[in-house]
Amino acid sequence: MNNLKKYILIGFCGLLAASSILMTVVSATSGAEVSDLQKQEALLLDDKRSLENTLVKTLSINQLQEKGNELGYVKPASLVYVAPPEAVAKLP
Amino acid sequence: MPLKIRILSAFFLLLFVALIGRLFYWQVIKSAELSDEAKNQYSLSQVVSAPRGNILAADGSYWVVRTQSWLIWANPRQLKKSSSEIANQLAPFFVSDVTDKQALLHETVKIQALLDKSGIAWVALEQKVNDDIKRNIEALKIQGIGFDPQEASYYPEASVAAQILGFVGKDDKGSDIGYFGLEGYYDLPLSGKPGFVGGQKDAFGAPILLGGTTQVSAIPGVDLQTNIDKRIQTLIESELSQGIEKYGASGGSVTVMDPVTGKVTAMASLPSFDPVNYSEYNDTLFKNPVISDTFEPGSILKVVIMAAGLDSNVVQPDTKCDICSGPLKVDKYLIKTWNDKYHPDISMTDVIVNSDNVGMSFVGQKLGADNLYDYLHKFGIGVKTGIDLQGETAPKLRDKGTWNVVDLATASFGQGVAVTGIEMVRAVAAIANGGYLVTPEVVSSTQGEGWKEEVKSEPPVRIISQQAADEITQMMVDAAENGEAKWCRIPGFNVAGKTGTAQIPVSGHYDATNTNHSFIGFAPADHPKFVMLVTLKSPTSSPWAAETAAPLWYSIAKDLFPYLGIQPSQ
Repeated sequence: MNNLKKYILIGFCGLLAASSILMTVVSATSGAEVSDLQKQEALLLDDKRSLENTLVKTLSINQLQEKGNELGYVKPASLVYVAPPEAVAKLP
Repeated sequence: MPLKIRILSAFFLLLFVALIGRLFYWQVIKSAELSDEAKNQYSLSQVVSAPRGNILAADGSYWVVRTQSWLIWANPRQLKKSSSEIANQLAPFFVSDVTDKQALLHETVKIQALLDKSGIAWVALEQKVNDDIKRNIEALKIQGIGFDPQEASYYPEASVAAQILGFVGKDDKGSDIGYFGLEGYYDLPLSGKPGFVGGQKDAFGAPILLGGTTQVSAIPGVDLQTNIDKRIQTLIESELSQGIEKYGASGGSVTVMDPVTGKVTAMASLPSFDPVNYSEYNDTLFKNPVISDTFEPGSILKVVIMAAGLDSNVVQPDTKCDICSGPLKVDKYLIKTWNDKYHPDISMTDVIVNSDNVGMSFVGQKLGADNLYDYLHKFGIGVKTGIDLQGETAPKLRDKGTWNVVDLATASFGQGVAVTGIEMVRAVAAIANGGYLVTPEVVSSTQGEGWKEEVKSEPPVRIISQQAADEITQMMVDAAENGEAKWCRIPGFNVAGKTGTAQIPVSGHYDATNTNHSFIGFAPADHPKFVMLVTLKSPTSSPWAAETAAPLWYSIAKDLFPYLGIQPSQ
């Protein structure tokens, strides 16, 4: 009977020790995973920033104007406003 | 006990005492120092910087976008190559033009001097370097050269609207801070609030989750949505640049505002500066002349004085001026018209059309000094407009009750009174919108991730009656159609406007050669969509604003009409 209690106690202590080691290992691995995820996040943010910069540069009015000129779009020298035609005769 | 045993015991005792002593030294005396060193190795303590907010145009596109750049630094103790060799390698990356030998040499000498500093472990070589340059320098694999990320501002439209935007510089602690314009005025909301990450890390720098972490998130700065329209801003800067060259002026400004809402849609002054390379420009260019520089308005102030006369019923549009048959003697001075031509019994409408100084003195006399002071104050002359840009000034009017007859007469035609451009725009906007004084606004809303808040504006205040506003508007329409600037009007469009040629006060007298030219107007006169002020400093091509500022105003207006959907009325 005493032996049984002793084994249970030793087993319980062993379980506690093993779970503690396991927890430490899991935590250490999680730390590395978090670190990896942070690096990935930084890379993705870099990509996002780079894409946003390209978009901003492309939408610049100066660039659009240059592109427009290259494509042959030129500002009209003057505008002519045409009055709507007035009815000269109406059907009854 | 044998002697050998005694000696051995004594030896062990001494060793034991020495061990205890050493332990005492490490555990007690050096305890705090070692504890700190250990903490430095395993503790993770990092300030998370808050990204600065962006500045957006009226259409939602960017005026300023924050991006990442790099601080390039060196650890002189780790350098394997000579400082001159490294300086020669790096200098070409830090100059804007590599063919400029002088700039290249200057940069090389600067870098070498930094690297040769003795007794330092870290020295900054260049700030705000872009990704491409960083990659190129990295490829050189120079030992002892490192990179730290830092925030930079990118301006898609280059130097356009620089004086509205301001720039981001450094404060005395080396932190980013906004100066001038919007960057200065909204520095606090744009800056946000830095965060903090605290915890423990392992030998590879990975966080130890068991140790517990403290994390305070950074609050990013807010984005500013402005009323500044990119197309109008680009248009006025281009036209102003051409106008300054064409009319031989030393500088100039253009301001465009919605007279009903007070939204400033464009504002430009030249010469200006490049916000990226602001340190290469003279400090005087950072100020926005429209809000910071004062000038005597001259004849453009006549519409404000006439509006005061009409509102207080001391004159009507058809009131005859009975002192306009010749020069007017006031105290020891003689007041003349600009062309020395006089019109007996001229009506008030024609006083504005002919820009008659004697006729305006007549209105001033009818108003009286105190009444005129009150109206100037009502129109916001001598008072800051409250525009949301850093650096606004407002020269005070001479104290009420101290105006003599000469002050009254000269103020009636815009002399002896100093104003800023934005004060004049606001005053004439009150005529355009039917009598309400509005507050000019550059920013319409602030916004962040998933939220947007409109900027609360001051409610407009009625300062003159609708009838007085209508009457002075009609006078301005007549002035635009029949005044000196009639040659440059655009047929069919209903424009209300007034020219102003003002002398420049210098050390107690007026400059004999230089004048400031301006034209202020709005269109369409009955339902105005914009009010615009054009000013040119000391143009040389002509002594009259009708031949400089007025044609420039119409040249800009010609492009604004189709853009704002303004159709010809005739």
